[in-house]
Amino acid sequence: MTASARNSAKPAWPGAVEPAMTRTARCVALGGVIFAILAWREAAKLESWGWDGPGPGLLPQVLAVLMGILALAVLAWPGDPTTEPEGGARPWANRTFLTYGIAMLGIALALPWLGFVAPMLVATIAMLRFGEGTSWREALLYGLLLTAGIVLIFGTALGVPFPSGIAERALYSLGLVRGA
Amino acid sequence: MIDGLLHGFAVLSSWQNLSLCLLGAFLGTVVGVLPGLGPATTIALLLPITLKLDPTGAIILLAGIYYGVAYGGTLTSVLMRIPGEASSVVTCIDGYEMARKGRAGAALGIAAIGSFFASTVGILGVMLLSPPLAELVIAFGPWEYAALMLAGLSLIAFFAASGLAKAGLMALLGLMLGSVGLDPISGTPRFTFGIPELVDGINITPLALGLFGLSELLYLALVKDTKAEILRPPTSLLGFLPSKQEAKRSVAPVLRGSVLGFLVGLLPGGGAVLASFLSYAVEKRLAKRPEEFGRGAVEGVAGPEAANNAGTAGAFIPLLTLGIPSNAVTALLLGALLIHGVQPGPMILERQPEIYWGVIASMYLGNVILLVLNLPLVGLFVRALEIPRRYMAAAILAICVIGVYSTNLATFDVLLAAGFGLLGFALRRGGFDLGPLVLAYVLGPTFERSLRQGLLISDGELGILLERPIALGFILAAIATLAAAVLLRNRARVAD
Repeated sequence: MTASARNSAKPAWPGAVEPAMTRTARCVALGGVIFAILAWREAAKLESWGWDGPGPGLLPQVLAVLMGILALAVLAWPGDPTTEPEGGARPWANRTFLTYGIAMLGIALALPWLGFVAPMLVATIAMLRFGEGTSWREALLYGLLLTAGIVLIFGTALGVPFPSGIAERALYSLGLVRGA
Repeated sequence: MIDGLLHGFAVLSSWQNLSLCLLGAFLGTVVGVLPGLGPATTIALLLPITLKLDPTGAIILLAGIYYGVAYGGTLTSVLMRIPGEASSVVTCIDGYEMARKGRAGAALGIAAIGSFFASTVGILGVMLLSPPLAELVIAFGPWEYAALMLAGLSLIAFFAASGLAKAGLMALLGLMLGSVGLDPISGTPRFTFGIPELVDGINITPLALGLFGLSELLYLALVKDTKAEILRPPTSLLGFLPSKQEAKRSVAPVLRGSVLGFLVGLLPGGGAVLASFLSYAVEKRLAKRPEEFGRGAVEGVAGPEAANNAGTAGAFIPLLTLGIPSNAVTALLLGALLIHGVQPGPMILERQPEIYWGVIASMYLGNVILLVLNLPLVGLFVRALEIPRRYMAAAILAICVIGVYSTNLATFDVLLAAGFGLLGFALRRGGFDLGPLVLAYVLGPTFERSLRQGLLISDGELGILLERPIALGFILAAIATLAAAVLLRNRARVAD
């Protein structure tokens, strides 16, 4: 039986059969090995046992070692390229995925300087126009509606403070949001 | 107990709590209908909003979503053969076949009535078992607690769909993320990598919203935005009534599913998904006409639907009385309680009875609301599927960003959430289960504190475990679970 067939067989419980490793799983495991090494370097600086008993480094050191071992186990597990998710489709070659990812990271990076409203408006328009291929008009309209809705629900109704930006300062002067 | 329940209904009778119960049940059903957007994502999205509520109101709202999802997932399973939620996967098989034969109303009716009955059994179980269990657990020392958590994490890894190695890796990562920040005992910074913002540790909001919310956004980008065919639900309430024969065939599966689901729900790693799978297997084995399974067997709908709802209720026992969640959703509920300064555990019945009994009362009321709301509003709920991906994705991003920021008013948390979003996407795509990660993250600090207290008391001697039979029992159970998982998987591989 091939690994893909094994995965499609009905197990006694959801995790009864160890699934074959995909390329993505191996990449994650490789990341796990690197993270375990970095974590060990950090944890090794901490005291594992002191005069008053177990120290702050005891559990982190144990965890880093175990994590490295398990990540290596996942890395070495037999693989099967046919079990790649979505038939092995590459997310980085998908325009929608890239736009969504850039929008997410863009907002996270712009938030401290530009506040929430302006980056969210730009991100929504970009997601709809470039990620989904809608018209500029629809993207702009939905961007405005969504941002206004979030401001009214979270800022005005729930009183959630927004990160400071040009738009927030204007909204603050109108009494629509509270200052951060 | 009756006094406690009456107290719970008194707590629930405030207009705010009643509205939150209704809102939670309604939102849960909508979320259950939408494929992909599971209870964990929704609870993560709503976590920051609950900061504005009192702890009782917050948990009533989030619990409503949790048990509402089990109802909602059934609708798309029966009408579209698309499980809105993992616990409804099994219902797709026979529920959809019943719908194709023109019995969609009967399938939904049996599922709703069976779910209501099972939930009621589950809530009664929670009421009856929680107080004695809490009394038993009060006697636990640090070793017992640490060992219990270890056993729980082992069971979660055992049941994880992703396999033992991947689940173990996720649990270890969760424990590590939980230990970031100042050491709770000595105050030494750990795993901060020189980043001052990490000194206070990683908050559950960026972690949960990143792993579940933002990773969902990235996942949505890869899903084709197509419309699925929806079989017509009945237009009148009478159309949901099963025939006499269908009703008769449903009774025993519902009863079995209720008991089985409740017991499975108690197990760490168990819960609604496993309960529904096991119930289907049991019903197929006991059926007089097993050949009907897969072709529209009533038992294949009644049993699993009852089991997943009873499992949902059962999962509240370890959460409320031990402070140990049994799956990712209850881990987020625990996180919500901790944010509000509520420490679930054996003392909750004495110290914060309004929360415990308020939740129990809200579960009773929530189930009535779900039964009354669900069938007449089937058409409305199904229309939620018509929301285009592009609108949903942008809304998820907006809610995640403002939700994460509002928790600590820290822009760094948003960056952290974006990082967890990418991590969550990679993990999900690699077939890693996020449940063990979140669970270990939530349990980590308590586990470490208990372990270190235990080691301190015994001066590092593990021989003390021989004098503590309960702790030893839990540790042996953990070892046996992991050994069984390895042996069973090896056997499965050899059989292949």
